[in-house]
Amino acid sequence: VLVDARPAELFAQKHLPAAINLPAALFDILYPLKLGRELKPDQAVLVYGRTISRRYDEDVAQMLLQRHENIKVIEGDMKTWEAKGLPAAP
Amino acid sequence: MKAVQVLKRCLSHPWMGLLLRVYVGGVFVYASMYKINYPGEFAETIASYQLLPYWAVNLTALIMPWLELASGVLLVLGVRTKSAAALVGGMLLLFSLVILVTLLRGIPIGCGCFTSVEEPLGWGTLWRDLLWLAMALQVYFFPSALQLEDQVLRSLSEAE
Repeated sequence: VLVDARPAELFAQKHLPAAINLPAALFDILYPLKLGRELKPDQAVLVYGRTISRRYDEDVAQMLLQRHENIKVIEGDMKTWEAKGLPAAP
Repeated sequence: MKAVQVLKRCLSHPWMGLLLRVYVGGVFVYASMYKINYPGEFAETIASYQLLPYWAVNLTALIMPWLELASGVLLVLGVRTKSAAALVGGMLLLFSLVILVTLLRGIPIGCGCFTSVEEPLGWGTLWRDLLWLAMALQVYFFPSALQLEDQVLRSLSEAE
């Protein structure tokens, strides 16, 4: 499962394909709706989403760690992703 | 020619200085209120501009509103007016540049100028800030009436 930790406006602008938007500010509301039921306890969750000014990925990873063990942060921002020639959804 | 002279006289009149001084100072005092009460939300606003490094965001969110309040109060009262106008002008110039860069980068965020929930950042926000910058320049370059500092100094010299 791929989680985009950035605010919704930035997610709407551009994100990784198949990513689920789960910003820290709305975590308690969105987690049960988007992940809670389907996610198995041992399933891997990859979290990404940081800017020069905020490490949204680390904030959300901390919140997810309270519920799951297998959490990994993909460092780097969208620019890094695109610079490597990888696809991004609009 | 006459109209230009009248306009010049109006713009440099001490009462115009008073009006603009109190208005711009009031705007800054008002702008600081929400930010001082909710520094966490203001930090998120600063972060959304994606210009400051992450370690400077929270510190800026703590310091800037107090700077706005202090310079705003000094302007309204007319104490150290030139310094306060320079401070306010400098902040407005900075805000304008930040807004311009953000608009050019196409980052879809709210202004966060007064509260954290506001209309999206647009070219209107930039023009508004530039207008306030022009007002701050007027206050800096021309005298304004009813400055508390002048009144205090005058009464002190009279007492002597």
